[in-house]
Amino acid sequence: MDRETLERFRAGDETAFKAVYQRYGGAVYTVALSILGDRGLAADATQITFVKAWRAASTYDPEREIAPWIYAIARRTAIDIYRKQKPTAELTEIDDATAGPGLEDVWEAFEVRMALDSISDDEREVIRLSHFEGLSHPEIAERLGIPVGTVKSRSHRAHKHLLELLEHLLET
Amino acid sequence: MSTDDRSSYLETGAGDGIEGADRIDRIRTVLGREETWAEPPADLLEDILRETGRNVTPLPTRSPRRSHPGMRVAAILALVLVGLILILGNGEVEEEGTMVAMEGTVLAPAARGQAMVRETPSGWYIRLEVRGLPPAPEGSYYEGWLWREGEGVSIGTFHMRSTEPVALWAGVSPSDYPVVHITLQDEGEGPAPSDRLMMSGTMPDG
Repeated sequence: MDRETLERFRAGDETAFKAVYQRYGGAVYTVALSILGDRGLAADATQITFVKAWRAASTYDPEREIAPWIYAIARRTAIDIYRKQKPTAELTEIDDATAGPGLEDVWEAFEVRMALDSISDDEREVIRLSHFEGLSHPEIAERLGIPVGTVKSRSHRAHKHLLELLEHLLET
Repeated sequence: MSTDDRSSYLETGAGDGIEGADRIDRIRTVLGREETWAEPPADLLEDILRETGRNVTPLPTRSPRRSHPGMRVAAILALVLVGLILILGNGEVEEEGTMVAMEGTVLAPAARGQAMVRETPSGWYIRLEVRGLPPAPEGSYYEGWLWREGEGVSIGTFHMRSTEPVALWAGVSPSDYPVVHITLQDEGEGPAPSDRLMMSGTMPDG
């Protein structure tokens, strides 16, 4: 996201706010759904996250990346909702998640979702059909109505592109 | 190890001796999860804009500064006057009370809002509505105080991790303790007010 948009976001510009939502709305929803496991609650958490972000926009430093800032609000918001919704007996699980492997899972989900939202729709769809629906190349070709060879080349390009965007996850 | 080898491993899961294979496996796992692909409701942005538009005025960018005491008092009085006009003017206010304009200090220059103070049979109810005050960092919380020279009485704690107004209660009269302070406190540091004053406001007749 370019510096000018972030400056305008900080100044309370609605168009810039919409751009931030368009860029990070899906990833925030992924974080919320990962923690809450319920689409309705995840939608509530996403809404509250962006309302908070709007209200706190003037405290955001455009010199720093906005993704971790948005992520922190989203995770905190979803955990707060989780605590309100779940029985006390389950609180330990999410409390531990704030400092353990659970936290890493959620962060990875956020990063992967952001990367997926950065590649082309064609590339994204072939990755979705392959990993989420578990289709083979011939099945994807049939679903999309394109030659198998095209699926293979598109899939190769898509995975390479995705991995380039997630290179930093491989280094940690 | 080439990028092609690793992207091929991500694509197929096949390959020996792939550097970072465990990390790539984790990405593959994430790609297979429903939440990775789930889309938020199509009208969610409209809902968000509706809420922010109804309740929130975008905050102008402000640089940290200390205002002249006289200007500060004038600004507070002006905001109080506006609050009173809004309350008395539209007749649609659910709760009536004395309005105290709250302003952020140099530690929270973007914070501002108001506190509505109303006497009840069990004490003074104080409803705090602020914007621009970020959620309290982990391990800390905000605490409200009614204050007079050298002495403060706690009126409750909160963390600002919700968009809802904050409900506080006082067992002492705001006419005796005419200043509302909001401090940032660290957990485990005891009941004394910290020196991190985040917001402040004064009763209109204080």
